[in-house]
Amino acid sequence: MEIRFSDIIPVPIPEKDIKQSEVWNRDICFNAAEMILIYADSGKGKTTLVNIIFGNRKDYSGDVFIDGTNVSQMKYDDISVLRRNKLSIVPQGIALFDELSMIENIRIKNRIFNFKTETEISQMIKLLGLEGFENRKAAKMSFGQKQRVSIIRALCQPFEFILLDEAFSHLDVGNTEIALNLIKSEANKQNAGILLTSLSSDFNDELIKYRV
Amino acid sequence: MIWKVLKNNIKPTQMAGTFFGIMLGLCILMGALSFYLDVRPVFEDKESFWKDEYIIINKQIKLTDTYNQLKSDTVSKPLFTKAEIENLRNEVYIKDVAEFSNCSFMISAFSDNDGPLSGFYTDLFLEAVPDKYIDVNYANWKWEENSDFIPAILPKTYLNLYNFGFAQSQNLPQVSEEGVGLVKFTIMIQGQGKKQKFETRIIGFSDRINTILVPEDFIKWGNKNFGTDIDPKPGRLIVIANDPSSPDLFKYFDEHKYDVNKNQLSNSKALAFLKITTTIVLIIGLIIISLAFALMFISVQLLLYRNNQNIRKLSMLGYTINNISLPYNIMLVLFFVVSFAVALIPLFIFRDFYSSNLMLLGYEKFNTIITNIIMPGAGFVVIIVGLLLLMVRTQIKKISY
Repeated sequence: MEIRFSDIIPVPIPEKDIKQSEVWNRDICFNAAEMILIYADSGKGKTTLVNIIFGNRKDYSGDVFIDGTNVSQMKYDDISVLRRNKLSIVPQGIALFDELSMIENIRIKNRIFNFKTETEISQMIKLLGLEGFENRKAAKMSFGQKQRVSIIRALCQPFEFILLDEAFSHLDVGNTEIALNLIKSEANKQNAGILLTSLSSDFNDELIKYRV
Repeated sequence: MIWKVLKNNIKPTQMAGTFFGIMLGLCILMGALSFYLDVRPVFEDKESFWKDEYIIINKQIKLTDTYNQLKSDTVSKPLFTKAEIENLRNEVYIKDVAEFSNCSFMISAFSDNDGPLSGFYTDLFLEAVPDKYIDVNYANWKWEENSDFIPAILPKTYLNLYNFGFAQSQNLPQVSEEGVGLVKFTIMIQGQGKKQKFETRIIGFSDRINTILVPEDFIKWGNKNFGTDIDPKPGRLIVIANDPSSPDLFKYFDEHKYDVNKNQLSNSKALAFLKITTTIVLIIGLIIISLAFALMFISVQLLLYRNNQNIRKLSMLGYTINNISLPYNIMLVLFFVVSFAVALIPLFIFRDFYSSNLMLLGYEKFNTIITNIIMPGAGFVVIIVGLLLLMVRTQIKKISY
C-alpha cells in the first residue's frame, strides 16, 4: 500500500506551523512495510493527519492518495472497504464501547472477518497484561487498559497500514515495548506498514521520522 | 452485539406512546378506509342499495293553484315545460331527465262479474315512464298496437293501503301480490267520440314509482287516438343525478320550487352525511397517524443522534451503513408489523359490527378482508416503514461519514 500526501494543508493548522512542518504542504509518500513516526508537540496536527488518511476529515486543501485513489473522492462504501481490509487504527480517543465488556469490544471488531481465533485473542490479552479483565465493562477500565484493548482490537483485522495515534500515551515503557513488538510482529505477518504519532521522537531508530 | 451498542437511549415510555399512536392511527385510518371501500358503490351510485339513483320531482302545488284551477279550466297547471326540462338536463350534477307520460283521455276500470272482486268499478288514471326506470323486471312489459292486453304495475303502497287499511276495516279478505296478479280487470278508454276495451292484469308492484304504470307505447297511442292532447306536458319528472347526495342538487330543486320525494331526500341527506362523516374520520385517522409518524420520525432521529458516538465508532471499525442500519431496520419493521397486527383486532370487530348492521339493511356487497384491510393497511405500513428506513440510512451516513 502507498499513502501519498500532495501539498496537504489542513484548515485548522496555523500558517507558521505549516512552514515548519515536514509533512504539510509537501509531497511525501508512506509505503507498506515502512514504520513511520510522526512527532510533534500538541496541536500541530498529528491526529488531523491520521484522520485525513482514515477519511474522517475533509477540511484540507491538497490531495491524499491511497494506492492512487484520492481519499476525498471516495464514497462511503469505498471508505468502509478501506477500513475493513487495508487500514486499521488505534485512535487517540480509544473509541471503545463503554457498555460492552473488554472481550466484547474486541469481538465486535473480530466478528467482521473472524480474523483471529479466540485462542489468539486470549494470547494477545495475556501478553498485554489484561488477563482477568475480559468481562469488565470498558467504562470501568483505566485509560492505559483501554489503550491496550484498543491495540488488540486493531490487530483483529487484515491491514496494509496500521495507524497508531498516540497509542502508547498512557502506557509505561515496558508495556509500550511489549505492545509495539506485538504490533510489529502482526504488521510483519501482513507485510503492512505502521504509522505512529507521538509527542516525542524518542523511539528506536528503525522508524522513519517526520515532524509535523 | 451491535444491537447492544445501538439500543442505548431507547426510552420504553416513548416507544410505548409511539406504538399506541401508530396503532390508534392505523385503526382509525384502516377502519374508515375499510368502511369507505365497502360502501363505495353507494357513494358512487352504482348500486341500487338505497334505490336512490332516480329522484322523482314535481312542481310545488300551492293553495292559490287549487283556487285558480277551481275557478277556471284555462289556468295553467304546475306542469314542466320543454325549456324547464332542457335546463334541468343542462345542469352539471344531473345526468339525465325522463318524463312521466300522462294520458289525456278518460279511463275506467272494472272487474269480471265472476271474479273474486266482482262488481269492482273505478275511474282511473294511467301513467308511463321509459322502461329502463322501472324497478320490476318483467319480460311481458310491452304493449303493441292491436294488442288488447295491457300489463300494469301498481305501487306497493296501494296494496298495503288496501290490505292494512281498507280490507281490515271493512272485513274484506287481504290479498297477496300473486293473488292480485291473478285478477283480470277490464279497462275502458274513451275520447274523441270513441271507446275501446282492454284487458289488464297487475304484473308487479313497484317500490320506487308512486303511480299506476302501463307501457309508454300504450299511453302514446292512447293520447293520439283518444286524447285531447297528443303530447301532454309532464307533471312529474325522473331525475338521474350524477351524485344523488349532492347538496347542490337539492339547492337547485329548492330554488326552482320543485318538490322531491321526502324519503329520497332523507336518504340522500343520510348518504351525504355518511360521506362527510367517513371523510372526517379518514382525515382524523390521517392526522393521528401523521402525528404518530412524526413522533416516530423524531424519536428515531433523536435515537440516532444520541447514539451518534457509537455509530461513528462502528463506522471506524469498518461496519457499513447496511450493517449499522440493519438492527434499526429490524426494530422498525417489527414495531410496525406488531402495531399493524394489534390494530387488526379492533378493526375486525368494527368491520363485523358495521357489516352485520348493513346486512340487516339488505346490503351484501362486501369486499374481502384482504382487499379491504390487509392490502391497503400493509401498503400504507410499507410506505411509512420505507420512508423511515430511508431516513435511518441517510442519517447514519451523515453521522458516520
